[in-house]
Amino acid sequence: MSPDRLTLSDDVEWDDVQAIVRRPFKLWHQSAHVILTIRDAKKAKAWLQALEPRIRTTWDIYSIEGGTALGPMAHAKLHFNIAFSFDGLRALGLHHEDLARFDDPFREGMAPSTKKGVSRRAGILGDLKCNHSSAWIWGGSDLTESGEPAPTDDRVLQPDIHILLMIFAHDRAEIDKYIAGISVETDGLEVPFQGHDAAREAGHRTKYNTHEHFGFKDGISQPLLPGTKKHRKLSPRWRDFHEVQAGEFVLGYKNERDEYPETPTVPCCRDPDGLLKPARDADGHVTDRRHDLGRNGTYLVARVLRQNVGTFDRTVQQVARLIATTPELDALDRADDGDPNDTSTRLLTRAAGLLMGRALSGEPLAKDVGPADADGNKNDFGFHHMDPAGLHCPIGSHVRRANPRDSLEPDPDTALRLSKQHRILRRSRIYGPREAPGDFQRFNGKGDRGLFFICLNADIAGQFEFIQDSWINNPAFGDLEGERDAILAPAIDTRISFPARPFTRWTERGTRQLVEVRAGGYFFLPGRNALKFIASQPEEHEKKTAEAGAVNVKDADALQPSDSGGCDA
Amino acid sequence: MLEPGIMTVVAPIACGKVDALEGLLRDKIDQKWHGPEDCARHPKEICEHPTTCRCVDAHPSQVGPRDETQKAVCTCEGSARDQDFKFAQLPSLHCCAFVIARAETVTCFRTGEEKPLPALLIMEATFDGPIEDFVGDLLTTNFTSLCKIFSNCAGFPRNPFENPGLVADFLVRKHIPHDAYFSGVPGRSISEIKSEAELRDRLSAHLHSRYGNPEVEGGPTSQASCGASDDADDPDEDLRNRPAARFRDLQRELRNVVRRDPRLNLTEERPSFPASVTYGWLIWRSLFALVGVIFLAIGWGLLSLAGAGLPVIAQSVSGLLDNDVDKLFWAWAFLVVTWYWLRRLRTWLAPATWPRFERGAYYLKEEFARLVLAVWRWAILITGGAFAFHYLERADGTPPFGWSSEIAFWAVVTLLVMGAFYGLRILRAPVLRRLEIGPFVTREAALKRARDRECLDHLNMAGRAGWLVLYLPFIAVVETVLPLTGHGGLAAVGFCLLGWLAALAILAASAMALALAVKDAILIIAHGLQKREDNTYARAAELARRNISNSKAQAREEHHTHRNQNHFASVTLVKSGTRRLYLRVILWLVNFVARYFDNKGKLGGIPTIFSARWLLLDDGHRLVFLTNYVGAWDSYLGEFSDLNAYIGVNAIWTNTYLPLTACEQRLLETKHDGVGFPRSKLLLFCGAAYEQPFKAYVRKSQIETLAWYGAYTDLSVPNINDNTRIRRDLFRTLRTDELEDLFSRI
Repeated sequence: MSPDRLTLSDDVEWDDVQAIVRRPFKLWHQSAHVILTIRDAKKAKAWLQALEPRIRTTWDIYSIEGGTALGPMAHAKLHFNIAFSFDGLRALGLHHEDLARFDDPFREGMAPSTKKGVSRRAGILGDLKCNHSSAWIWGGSDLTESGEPAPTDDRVLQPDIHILLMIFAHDRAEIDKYIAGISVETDGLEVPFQGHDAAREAGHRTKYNTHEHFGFKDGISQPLLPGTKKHRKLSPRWRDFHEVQAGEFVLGYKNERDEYPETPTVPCCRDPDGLLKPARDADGHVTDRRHDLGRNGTYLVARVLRQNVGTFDRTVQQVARLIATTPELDALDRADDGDPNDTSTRLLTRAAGLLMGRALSGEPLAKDVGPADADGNKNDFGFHHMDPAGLHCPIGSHVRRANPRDSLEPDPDTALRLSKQHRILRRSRIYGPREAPGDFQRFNGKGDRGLFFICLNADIAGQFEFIQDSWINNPAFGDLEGERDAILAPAIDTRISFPARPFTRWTERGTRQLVEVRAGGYFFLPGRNALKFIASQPEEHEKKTAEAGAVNVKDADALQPSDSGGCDA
Repeated sequence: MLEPGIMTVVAPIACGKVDALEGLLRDKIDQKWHGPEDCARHPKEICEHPTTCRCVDAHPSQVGPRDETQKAVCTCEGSARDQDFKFAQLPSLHCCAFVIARAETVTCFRTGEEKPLPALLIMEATFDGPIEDFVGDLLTTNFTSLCKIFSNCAGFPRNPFENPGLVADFLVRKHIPHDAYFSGVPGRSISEIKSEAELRDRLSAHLHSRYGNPEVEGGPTSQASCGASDDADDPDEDLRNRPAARFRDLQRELRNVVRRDPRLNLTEERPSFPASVTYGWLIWRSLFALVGVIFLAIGWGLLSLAGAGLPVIAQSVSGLLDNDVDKLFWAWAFLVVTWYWLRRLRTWLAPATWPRFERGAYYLKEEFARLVLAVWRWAILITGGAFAFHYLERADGTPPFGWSSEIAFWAVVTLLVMGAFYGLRILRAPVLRRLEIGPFVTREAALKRARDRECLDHLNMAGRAGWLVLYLPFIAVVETVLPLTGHGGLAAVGFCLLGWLAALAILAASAMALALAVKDAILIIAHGLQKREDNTYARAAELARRNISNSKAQAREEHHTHRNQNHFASVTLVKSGTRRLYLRVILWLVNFVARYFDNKGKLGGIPTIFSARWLLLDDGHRLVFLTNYVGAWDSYLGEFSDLNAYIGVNAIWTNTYLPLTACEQRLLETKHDGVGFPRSKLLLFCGAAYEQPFKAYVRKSQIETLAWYGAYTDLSVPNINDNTRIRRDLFRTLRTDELEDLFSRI
């Protein structure tokens, strides 16, 4: 045992981390997300081993983007990232004791079926009413919201989401060809679902931000990882707001609490080839007794969010009527939303902006906004000092709820410190046909279009679920009463309120649902070495894992005993 | 002035009845979500996508005209569920919960003696009015269900139906007073809470229908009129519509709305609060005053010991009006007074915390204030010393040296003493580091953790105050030694100076060394105890790693469909020996703080606690914590971990541990039969600040809330307190900014 094996770097090993953590794949404007189901673990592992060299790490993508890539990578037409669901890791034959060390929400899944009515996670995530997982196209639960078994014809693929494969390319035909080549006979894999993302907009090939279906510029506010090239150019205040420790997004490094996030580990005897690095014990000392399966990996949350453009436009019209009768709401000091002479368009864009919390162009509504970055995005602002009451950016608007920055209790510095413990990295792409943005008359906009939402976090319960539960869906967020997110609310009858002087104006939202959850799942995005480890699991584990997990594996109560080796708590 | 009624019935469960009782409570007593009151509030749920949303009872006839798309109307599901316990029939009941603490065995670590703890049924209730009335209500409305529940307990009367009085007796006898209690909405009766919420809704609806309701005013057509009125705005009109007048009109209008509405059941216009809330500050002020008096007495005693107390003070009083000495004294007094007021002024003017950003609105003001205060403080020290020196010189009949030299002399002395102090601190750092107390004690290491930095700041503040207190008698001692040395001419003065310096150095060094030694001794002893404890229990960090969760206990959250309120119950075993006594003291303190100080809706900075109660059961061997909170479990526990409340959490729960089953011991690879609270420093710091181990420990300690009822589950603590403030302010004469604040709350 060489002593340097027992020293772990606190700088992220980007040559081991899959690229989607750091790079949005902006060069490749075609992409697809494929759900795979493992039918034959042995063949699937062979397929994984063959695929492994084509999985791109952050470093690979840097070198391709910088033009310094060598060998087959430089000429590759397809680039892959891969993530596994809990069932997937089980199907690949990970030892059941190792499986038990994964994060709780990941093991339960996004839509666990329970015998007790509304499942806990459905409540936390806001997957109620029309969002409920019984109607999802994949990854859903086999129970309806009231707790009865769903009709069998709707049980599409429910228990069988194993692998999420993300493919990036210049040419859609290449992607189609690859997916068509996956078969049960040769690879032991079935393709129950494939989703193509809309091609990036022309002219946006080098810019990350695209416009989503409602017409807003998307993906502006992202956390900055320390050491980013971009971040050296930004102002100190920008860094204060957005610099987040790598451990919030990559396992094995220090997070915002200055602690190492909990990570799945395996005993050294199950990693004889030393594919994995040694793990830290409870005191933070590195020991070779256990090896770190999670290092350089992270948890990936995927959700298919359908956007009801017609409903959105109708809501915007309604809010515009409110603004028309309430001069207090009409652009306190901004006239840059559209043409000042065209009253109705200006009111509509203003209304859309108030719902989202940013203008269509991505311009923040808050006050005291610092300069833009190289991409023209402005993100250097807080809410507490200049807009505590939400007169500029309504408290219930989507961006303020999704990232309240320094605006919550008890004081701005603490609020900012706490809110930075819950940031996520968003890597969404849009799907479905685009419509011309901006006229807000798309009432009859039929068709399935929306967002393939992907976010990365090291602690699902503390980050993605926290945002959903404590901010987005919290009726008491920021001293509001009984409201939900202006954009993401499920079909529950609430108000949308707009703080104004001297009193807050509001409008009934009815039970409109602007965004619907259509599918979703929790995945583990392993580091490259961990991927090699997963692909090389010996066969004898498969049998044992299958035995241990034979008792209704989806059941939340049965999960614990079976995974912890028959310990009845 | 209404003191909340609090009742906690703790009854041991009869042998073998635990499972039956559990099933009864879970299935028959618990108020299921989607209860009838919910349906009244949201009678219909309309979905736009009937194809994706399977609505069970779709009534196409009820399709409203509001929206042109096709939709289905769902009726509330599960509303017909008839539960045995009619909580809603108890008009004074705020919240009520039933939990079961399982039987445990605790082992005394000294004698090895095992003590069995029985399984207990715990019923907590918060209500308005005295316990007797509540028990009476309970018996009249839910007698059968109560008997069904409590007949599983030992000691319940055999024939309750023949003698209901015995049941009442039983309940009152089994009531155990809490050891600590906190309420986020102290003194608000249930009718007040509900009618204040109604008041807000009413005002909001009034404003909405009168100003800016697009549906009423006809939408787009009003755009033109709106634009026209904008053009017509002339400066005179603007003057006439001064906000102050307009706001007052609006307030009057709202008052009339309330007065005209008989449905608003507000008998008084002003809300009333319990005495502990209204006069709690008096207790704190008196406590501070007491501490001040004690310090004064110590100072006086030290002066007297030095043999100079009375004469020095008497002479200084008589010499106040004397020539130039009084100038120095007045200068000193002026400095002290201005320093005090500047400090107060800063806390008034400044925002809640230090602004961190250079572009922050108050950054420069804050920096300036800090600088001024630092300079002022040093000026006080130096002038104070010089004053005493100068005065004593004169009293002795020797000629003064002149102020400048005196001030310089005292500046040197102060610097020397400070230097000795900091020098000692630096010198002992490596020693402490070797003792592994380092990360907490040495500054540079402690600075790594933001939270510990805050603690350290508090300690430093305390240290600085202590130093100022030490400094006064020290001056007195030096000044008393001075006349004894004898003097004549400058040479003698020079000699004296040297002598004083030596005396000073010795005094300072010994005083500081003593203080530091005491402090370090406490640290080292506490550290040793901590070490021993860490070796007695398995580590909570291992719990987090091994993901031993407690999924049964999460049942309450499985029903969590975004109400504001939730219930949480935890049972932990108390470590044996003196820790039981210590925990009682701590809980008494927590209760005191919660009752008289943190009684404005927040406990230790946490705004989401509705009520929290701590009970020590079984002769202090078991700690039960029951709470109603707002929001999600994760964020609630996160607040305990991230805000300053974690010190209180540590003070309480470091005295507890959780038992491990043999199987869990195997999983954790440990030989200890209990798992301890996450490692703390000095029983106060760190501990709960380690988020993951803390949450794992709490999850493991959590027990299932078998039945729970809340009278107003969709209100949060800030909501209720805001509504109370609206009610209070509506009928008061207010300044314009206060009026604006009132309107912004509606």
